[in-house]
Amino acid sequence: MLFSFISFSLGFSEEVVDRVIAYVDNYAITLKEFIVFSKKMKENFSDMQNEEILETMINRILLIKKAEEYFAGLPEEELINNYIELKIKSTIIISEDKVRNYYESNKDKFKNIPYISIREEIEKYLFEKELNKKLKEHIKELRESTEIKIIFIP
Amino acid sequence: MRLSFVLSFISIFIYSIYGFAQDYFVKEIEIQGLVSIPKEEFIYLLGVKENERFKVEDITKGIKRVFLKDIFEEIIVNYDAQSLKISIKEKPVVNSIEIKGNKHFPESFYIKILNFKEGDRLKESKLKASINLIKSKLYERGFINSDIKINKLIKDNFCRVEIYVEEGQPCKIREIKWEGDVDDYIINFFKLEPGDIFDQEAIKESIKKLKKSLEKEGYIGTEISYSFKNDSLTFSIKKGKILRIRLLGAESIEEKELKNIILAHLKEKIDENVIRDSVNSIISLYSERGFKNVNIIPLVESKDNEWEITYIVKEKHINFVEEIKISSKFSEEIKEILTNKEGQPINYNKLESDRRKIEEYLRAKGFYTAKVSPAELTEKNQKVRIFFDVQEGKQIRIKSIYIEKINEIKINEIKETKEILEKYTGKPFHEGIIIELKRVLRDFYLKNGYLYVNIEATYEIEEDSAKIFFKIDPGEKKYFGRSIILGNRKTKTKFIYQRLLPKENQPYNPYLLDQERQILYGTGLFSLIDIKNQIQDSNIDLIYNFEELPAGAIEFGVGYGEYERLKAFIDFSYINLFGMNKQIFSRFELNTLETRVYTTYIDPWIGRKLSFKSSLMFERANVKNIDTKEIIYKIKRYGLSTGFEKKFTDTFKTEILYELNYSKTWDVLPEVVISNQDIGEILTSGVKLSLIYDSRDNPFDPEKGILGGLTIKLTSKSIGSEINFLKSSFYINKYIKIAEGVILATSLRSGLAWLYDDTKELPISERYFLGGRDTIRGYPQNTVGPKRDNQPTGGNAFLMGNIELRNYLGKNLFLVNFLDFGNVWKRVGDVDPSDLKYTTGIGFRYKTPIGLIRVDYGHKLNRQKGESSGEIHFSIGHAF
Repeated sequence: MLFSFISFSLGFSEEVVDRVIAYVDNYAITLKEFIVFSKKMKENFSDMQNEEILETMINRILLIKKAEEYFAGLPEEELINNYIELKIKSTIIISEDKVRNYYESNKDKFKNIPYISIREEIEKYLFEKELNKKLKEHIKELRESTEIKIIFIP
Repeated sequence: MRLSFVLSFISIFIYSIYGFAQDYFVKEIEIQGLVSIPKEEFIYLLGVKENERFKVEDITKGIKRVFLKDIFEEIIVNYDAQSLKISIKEKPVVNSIEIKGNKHFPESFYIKILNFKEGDRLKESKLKASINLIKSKLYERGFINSDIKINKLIKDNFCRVEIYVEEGQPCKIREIKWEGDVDDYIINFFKLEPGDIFDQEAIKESIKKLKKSLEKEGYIGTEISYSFKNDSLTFSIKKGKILRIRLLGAESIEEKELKNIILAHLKEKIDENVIRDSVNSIISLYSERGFKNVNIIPLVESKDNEWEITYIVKEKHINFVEEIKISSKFSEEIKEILTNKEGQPINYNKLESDRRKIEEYLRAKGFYTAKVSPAELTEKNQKVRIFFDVQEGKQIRIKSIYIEKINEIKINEIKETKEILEKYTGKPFHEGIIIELKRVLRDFYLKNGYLYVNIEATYEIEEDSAKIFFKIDPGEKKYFGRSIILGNRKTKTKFIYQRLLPKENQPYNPYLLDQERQILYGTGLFSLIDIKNQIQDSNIDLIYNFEELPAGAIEFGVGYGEYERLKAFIDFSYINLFGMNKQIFSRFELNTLETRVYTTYIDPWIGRKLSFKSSLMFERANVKNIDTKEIIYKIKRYGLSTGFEKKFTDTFKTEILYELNYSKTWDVLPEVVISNQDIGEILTSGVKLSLIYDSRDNPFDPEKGILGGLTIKLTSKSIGSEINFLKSSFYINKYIKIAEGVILATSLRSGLAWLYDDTKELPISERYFLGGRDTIRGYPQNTVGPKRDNQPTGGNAFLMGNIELRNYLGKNLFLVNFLDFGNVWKRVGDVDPSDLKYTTGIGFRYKTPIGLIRVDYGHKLNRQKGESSGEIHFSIGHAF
């Protein structure tokens, strides 16, 4: 039972209502939050480990904390998206040369599809690849200046 | 093409953390491990109460809320047999920081670098960052092989941090090479020798100073760089060119002002563009001062080491506005708002903005289609007539205002919305009124909890009337949640909670937060109050982050007074006793005539705008006749006063105090003795009531406002006093700014004392005296009024007035002309307003950071035989 409360109890008769399992500066991540979040994650990524899920929750908090410095009064998802748009996406430019080079060096994968037909898809792929790379770097940077502690991984 | 999904993990989920419907009944709450905040605050933030039911999600929210305090490491909430058991682990407090192994730099050098200090909570990220900060600082200072280790010794809730520094061998300079424009002055500037440590911080600082020094000498664009290779340090210096500016033909504007404008452009580099910009700036300045068609020719001469730029200015003449004509019935009102004024130099740059101002003014009056043509100018003999041709069109008025759509707003709120809008029906229509209406409506909805209200407005104009349509989407109504207090170290959290307005579960109103800020800043304890919203469904928790000001202050000073000779004082104040904003002020004054000590305790928060005050005072004085230098009497006095002050408004307050005074008078000149109580000991006990009105803009140097007051003091044998009297004093000071830098200050003061029952005379220590630096300045201190054998005896009544004209001369200097008048009478019944002493005079004030330094000469207007013609007084602060 992955999410059994009993496994976190202090005594046999006591029930853990909730507890802190990790924190990012003064933002707590509680066991109950983790359970709900984990359940939803696993609906989409069934092979995801608890450690990865917790790391994702930490990354979300890092971005939300930073995003709150720029945007006020928005729901969390909007905060994250707006922040990524402002800080990461706006700095990415995929040049025509880059798209062309990718097409030329992976020509065998595209078989006979002409460049003009696949160009947009390659650009989108390269953009997202760059976005993921930059986002990872940015999160790493944020982590360095933040107090993060994982108390335990459920 | 399968992508990595870092982004997807982070942002594609829309999730709710609250999926547990289970609820519990809690009979008692047990908390273990809580050290730093009171249990009540913890439970308040957690959001649970004994003998009430709660849901799991309340606890989750509560843990997150309480964690914001940034002092906790772990919180576990267990439930067992209707008991909520909370285990807490706090982050340890750093109680000592020690630097070990340092040889080249002192401990203070390292402590300054750290990004944490004693009293902070221990954080690994800060320790790690501090290691990097120390290493990089040492690298900068020439220690490139340093090693830093940190050891933590945790005991109970505290941590000792030991930082081991291995600085390593410094990098030393073997030789120094100089390239470019080098001379002895520049070499000596760096004070470097072979064998010195390669300290980049010191080198950069020297470069900065050298550049500044060369800039002062007039060099523009100096370049200095250095490189360090194989222990050899090479400086490369390229001096900029000297800039010389000459102005020819500039007669109407000061050369200094023009040069400042030019230098602002040419500070960093000199090229065609910046020179053109400087010319345009000069033309613009001339145009603002009424000069039309000013011609400026810059002549640039570039030599090896020098730029010489000559600005040849052809000023032509200055034009004045003779008349402004506006073809509108509002012509006279409009002229008031224009930048160009009749009789003043014309400002050609502002003609277009004046035209726009007329259009905006007429549109604000409902002339929706008003058009104003560009100004037509008629020039003759340096006089200009300005004509604005106005096509007013029809005046449009608001006929009706409709609310198109209202979602989820309560009926009374709809009613109030309509009431707000009805007030605007019939008013002149203009686009600005739509903005005003939107603002008024938005304010109304914000005050009622609709934080995300969206208001759209459209309008239709038919003939001479306008219809306005509002579409209001109020969004979700939000309520105040809990308040989380952070950042306060000395001030008790309890004190802050007591100052917050009661608003939990009330509709969210941002204006209440402004009021709270005002109250909290008013305590004088905080330099910054940041309030952040933490949205919790329909509730909004508030996170208050405080930065505190130092609560204590010590001030001291020495000086010289005309009567007292050498004088000194020392002040102590502390305004945050017990972390509850209780205040204590103490002052000790000493001079050749007086010793005075007093201490006042104030609790400003015993009720709504009600303060408690208590003071203790000791005074020992030799009262002297300044004219004859004789000691009139000696007095020792002990005083106690205690009571309340109630502030009704920002300008009006009242005080009621009980006062107990013991005084001992001796060595009294026989001439001034008028009662047995003038010599020896006397105890007075009485109640004093004061009403004070103060609307001055600045109590130390007022420019406008009124200070007025009425004080009544009653002493009685029934409450332990040895004498019975009723003393009443009245004062009113008024300050009017009559022109820029000219203040008219007036003052009227009076005091009356009545004796009753068996008290026949007022003792000398209670009698009124006038004359001197703050009263009637043509007379020495305390010499006006009844006298016996040429010694002032004081009296039971006085009346006095002052009129001052305070003129600012510039450079913190003021010239003051004054007229003082007044007199002292033995009895209240003797008061005769026709029997007044008049003095006039002149004085200077010099404004310093510690206050105004004052010197006055007062001249007697009705001098008696044997009296001096006047007196000079030195003092600090205004006379009134």
